[in-house]
Amino acid sequence: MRFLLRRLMFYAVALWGALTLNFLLPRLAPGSPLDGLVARLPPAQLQANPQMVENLRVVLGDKDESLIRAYPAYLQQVLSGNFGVSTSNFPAPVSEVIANTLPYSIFLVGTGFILAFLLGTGIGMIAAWRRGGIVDNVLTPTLISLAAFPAFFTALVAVYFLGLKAGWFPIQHAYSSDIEPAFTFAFLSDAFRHAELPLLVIVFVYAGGWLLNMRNVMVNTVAEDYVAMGHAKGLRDSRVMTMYAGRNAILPPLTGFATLFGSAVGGLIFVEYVFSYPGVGLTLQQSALGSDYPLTQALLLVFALCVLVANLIMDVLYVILDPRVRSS
Amino acid sequence: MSTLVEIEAPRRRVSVPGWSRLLLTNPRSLFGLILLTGVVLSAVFAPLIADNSPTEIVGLPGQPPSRAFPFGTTDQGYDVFAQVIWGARTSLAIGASAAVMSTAIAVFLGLLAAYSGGWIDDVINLFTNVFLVIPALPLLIVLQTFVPSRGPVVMILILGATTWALEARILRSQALSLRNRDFVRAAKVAGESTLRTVFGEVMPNMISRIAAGFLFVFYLSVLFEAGLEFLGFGDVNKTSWGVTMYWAQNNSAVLQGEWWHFFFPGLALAITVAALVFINYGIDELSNPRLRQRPPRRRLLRGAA
Amino acid sequence: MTLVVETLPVTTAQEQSALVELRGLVVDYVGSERRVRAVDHVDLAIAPGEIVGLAGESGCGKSTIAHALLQILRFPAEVAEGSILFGGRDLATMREQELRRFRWRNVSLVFQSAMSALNPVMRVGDQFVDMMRAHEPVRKRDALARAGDLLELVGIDRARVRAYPHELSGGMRQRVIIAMALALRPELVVMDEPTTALDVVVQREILQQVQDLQRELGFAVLFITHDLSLLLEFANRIAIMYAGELVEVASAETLFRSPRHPYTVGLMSSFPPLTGPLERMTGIPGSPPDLAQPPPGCRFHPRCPHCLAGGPLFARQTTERPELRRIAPEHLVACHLVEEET
Repeated sequence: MRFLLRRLMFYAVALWGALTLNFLLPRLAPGSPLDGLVARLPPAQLQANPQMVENLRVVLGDKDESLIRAYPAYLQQVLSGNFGVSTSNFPAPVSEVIANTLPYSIFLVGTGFILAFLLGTGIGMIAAWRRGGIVDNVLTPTLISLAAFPAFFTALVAVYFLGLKAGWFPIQHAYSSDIEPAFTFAFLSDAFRHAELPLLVIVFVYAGGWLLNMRNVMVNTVAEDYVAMGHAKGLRDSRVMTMYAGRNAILPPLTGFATLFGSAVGGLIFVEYVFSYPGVGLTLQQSALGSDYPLTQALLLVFALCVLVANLIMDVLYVILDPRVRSS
Repeated sequence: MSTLVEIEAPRRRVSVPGWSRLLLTNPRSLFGLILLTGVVLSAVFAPLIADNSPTEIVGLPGQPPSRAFPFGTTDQGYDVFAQVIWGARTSLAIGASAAVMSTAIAVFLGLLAAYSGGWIDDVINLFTNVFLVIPALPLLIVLQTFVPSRGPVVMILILGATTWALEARILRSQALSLRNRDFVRAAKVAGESTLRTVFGEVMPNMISRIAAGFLFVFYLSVLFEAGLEFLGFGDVNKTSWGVTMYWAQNNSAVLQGEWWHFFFPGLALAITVAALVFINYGIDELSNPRLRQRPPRRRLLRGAA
Repeated sequence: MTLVVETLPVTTAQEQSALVELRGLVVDYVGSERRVRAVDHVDLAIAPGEIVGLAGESGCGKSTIAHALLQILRFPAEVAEGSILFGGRDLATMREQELRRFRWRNVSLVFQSAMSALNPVMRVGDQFVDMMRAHEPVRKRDALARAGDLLELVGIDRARVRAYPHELSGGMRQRVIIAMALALRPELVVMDEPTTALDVVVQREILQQVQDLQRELGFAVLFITHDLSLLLEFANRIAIMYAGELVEVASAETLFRSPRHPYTVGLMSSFPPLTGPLERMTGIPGSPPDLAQPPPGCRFHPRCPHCLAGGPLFARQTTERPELRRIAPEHLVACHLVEEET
C-alpha cells in the first residue's frame, strides 16, 4: 500500500507540473494569444457575456498581469473545470466539447491498447514456450514488422487496402451519419462497426512491441526452478506455461505499459485524424490548427491526466498481480 | 638512491574504434547501417538521382507508378519520386539537428543531476518527470500552436525540447553508477577537478549509451517531424516526407485511390526509422549478450506428444 | 557425535527388485557446435525404502540425474543413451499423460533452493492444491485441508497455507518443499541438495525431520549433495560421482571404514572427522575437469596422487577409462589401481 501511496504522490506532483506548464505556455508565447483570440470573437456575444473574456484571461494570461496573482486564480478556475469557451465550437464551453469527445477516445485507445497488450503478451508467451513452432516463426516476425512502421503510415495503408479496396470496414467517423448517438443497440453496434478498423490499426501498431518484450522476459523465466517444479509436479504443460511461467513473466512488461501509453496517445491522434474519428485526438489537431487556444490548452491537460490515470491503473494492477510488492 | 614509483590511475576501458568495429560485425546493426547509408546517400545525391524537381508540375495529375514516374504523380502533377528523394534531406537534417540538441540537453542535465546531488538533483528530477509524463505529440502540437512560425528552426527547437527527458534519466543513473567506480575515485584522489573528472573520465565511458540515446532521439525526431507535418503543423510548402503525406491526406488520395501519394513517402520514413532501430538493436546486444540470437532449437520435453 | 549405522540388511540392489534403475544412462547438453556429456554411462539401482546418497562436486552431473529421473530435462539437455526404469518400466516408453501421472505420484523432487522452486505469485496452499488436482479429482476445500495437514506434518502452522513464499523464512520454505514432495506418498523422493542453502542449525533440524518422516512413511530417498559427511550419517548406500561418472559405490559403513577410490579418500579428508581428534585436513588439489573436454583415460588422473609419470600404471591411467568393478559384496570401485590390488 505504501507503494501505491508513493506513486499517487508522484502523480500528484506530475499533475501539478503539467498544470504549471500549461499556465506558462500561453504566457511565454510571442505576442498575446488572448488579444488575437478576442479579436476573432463576435463582438455582440462579448458584450453580452463579459465573464467569457474574464475566463479566457485567467487561462491565457494578459500582458500586464502579475504572474504571482494570476497563478492561483488560474489553478482555482481550472480545477473547477472552467477553461473558457472554445472558439472553434463557439459558444460551447471547452468542458462541453471535451465531454462530448473524450468518451470516444477512451473507448478507442483503452480497448485498442488493452487488446494489443493481451494479444502481444499472449503470443509472446506462446512463442517463447514452444520455441521454433509456427507461432514463433510466423506470427512473431509479422507482428514485430508491423509494429516497426510509423503509426500514421499503418493507418493510411489499412484504410486504403482494407477499407477502401477490400471494403471490409467502414473508413470514416465513429458512426454512420444517419444514426443518432444514444445508448441504443442500433447505435452501439454501428459505432462498434466503425471502430473496428481503427482498433485493428492500434493493435497492429502496438502488439509487436509487447510481443518482443514478453518473449524476451519469458525466455529467461522458462529457465526458472519453479517452472521445472511445475512440470515435476505433473501439471499440464499449458498450466505451467500460463500460471507458472506466464504469470511471472508478465510483470516486467506491465511496468513498461505506463511509459508506452504516452506513445499510444500519439498513435491515437494519428488514427483519429486518418479515420476522422471524433475523439480528443482529432479535436486537438483541429483546434490547434484553428488557433483555438483555450481548447488546445485544456486538451494538453486532458492528455496528461489520461496518461497519469492509466499509469495509476497499471500500478494498482501490478500490486494485485505481484504479492511481493504489497509487503515492501 | 631511492626510486619513486609512479602509481597510475587504472586505465579506463574506452576504445571508440573498438566498438565501431563491433557494430559492423553485428548483423542487425550492419543491416541498419546499410539502410541508413542508402537513405543518406539518396539525400546527398538527390539532384543526380531524381530527374525532376519536386516543386514543379512535370506530369499529368494522378498518375500511378510508371517508367517515367516510378512513384507516380500527385493529384496536382508533382513527381512523387522527386519529392521522396529530395524530402530525405529535410527529414534527415531536421531529425539530426533536433537529436543533437536533445542529446546535448540530456547529457548536460543528466550529468549535472548526477554530480550535484541535493536540491539541484531534485529540481532536475522534477523537471524530467513532468516532461516524461506529458505525452510528446500533444505537447508538440500545443507548442506549435502558440508559436506562429512554422519554420524549420522552430521545429528543431520544439523537437529538441520535448524528447530529452528519457535519455536524461538514463544518463543520470549511469553517471551515478560510474561515479562510484574505482577509476573515478582514483582520479578524485589524484586531485582531478570535478569538471575534468566528469568530462575526462565519466563521459568517455558513457559514449556507447549516449550514442544509443542519440540514435533513439534521432528516430523520435524524424518520426515526430513527419507526423507533425502530416497533421498540418509544418511548413506545407516545403519538400519533406511528412508534407507530401499531408497533401495526400488533404487531397483525399485515399478516397481517390491514389495510394502511391502516401505510400512511398511513408515507406521511406519507415525504412529510415527501421534503420535506426536496427542499429540500436546492435548496440543493445553489444551491452547485453543474453539478447543475442539464440541457435535453432528442438523439442525439449521427452515423451511430449 | 556417533555415527548412526543403519541396521537395515544391506543386500545388493540387484537381489531385491529395484524400485528405480538407471541403466547406462547418458545425458548430453547439446550446444550449437558440440555436445557436453554431463552423465556418462551411469548404472545405479535404488531399492524400495532404501536411502541412496549421491555425492560429488558441483557441476559433476548430479542434478542432471535428478531431472532425468523425473523426465523434466530441459533443452539443451537430452538423454542420449541408456534407460531409466521405474518398477521395471522404461520411462521413455511412457506417453505424456502417463508421465504426468508418474511425476510426483511415484517419484518427487525436493529442489535445492526453495525460494526459487516455489512460484512467487501463488499462495503456498494453492501450489499444493494444483498439484493434488492434477492427480486426482478433489475439491479445493479438501485439498487445502490436506495441504494444512502436510504443513503440520513438517512442523509448520497450518494457517501458513495462505502465505506467499516470500513471507516465509528459509527453513520454513524448505520444509514446505519437503511437505509438497511427500503429499502424494511417492515411493521415491529425490532430494537435490535440500539443505545447502540453509545455515547449519536449520540444516540439522531439516535432516532430522526427513529422517523421521522416512522411518514413518518408508519411502526411498536419492539424496544428492556435495557434503559427504551428511551422507555418512544418513544414507544406506553411497555413490560417489566425478565428472559425470560413478567412481565408487558402497554401503555407508563400508565407505566410511575403507574408501578405496583416491577421489573418495580425498573427499573424506576434506572435512573434519565425525569422531576422533581433528587431524590435518587436506583438500583435493586442482579443479574438476571441463566436461566438454574431459581428460583422456581416467578422468581423475590429473588430480590423483597415485598417478605419476613413469609409474607402472601411468599408461593405462591416461588412456583407458576404468570401469566399476565389484571388489567386495557391497563395494564397487572404478579405479585401475584398486583393480590391480585385488
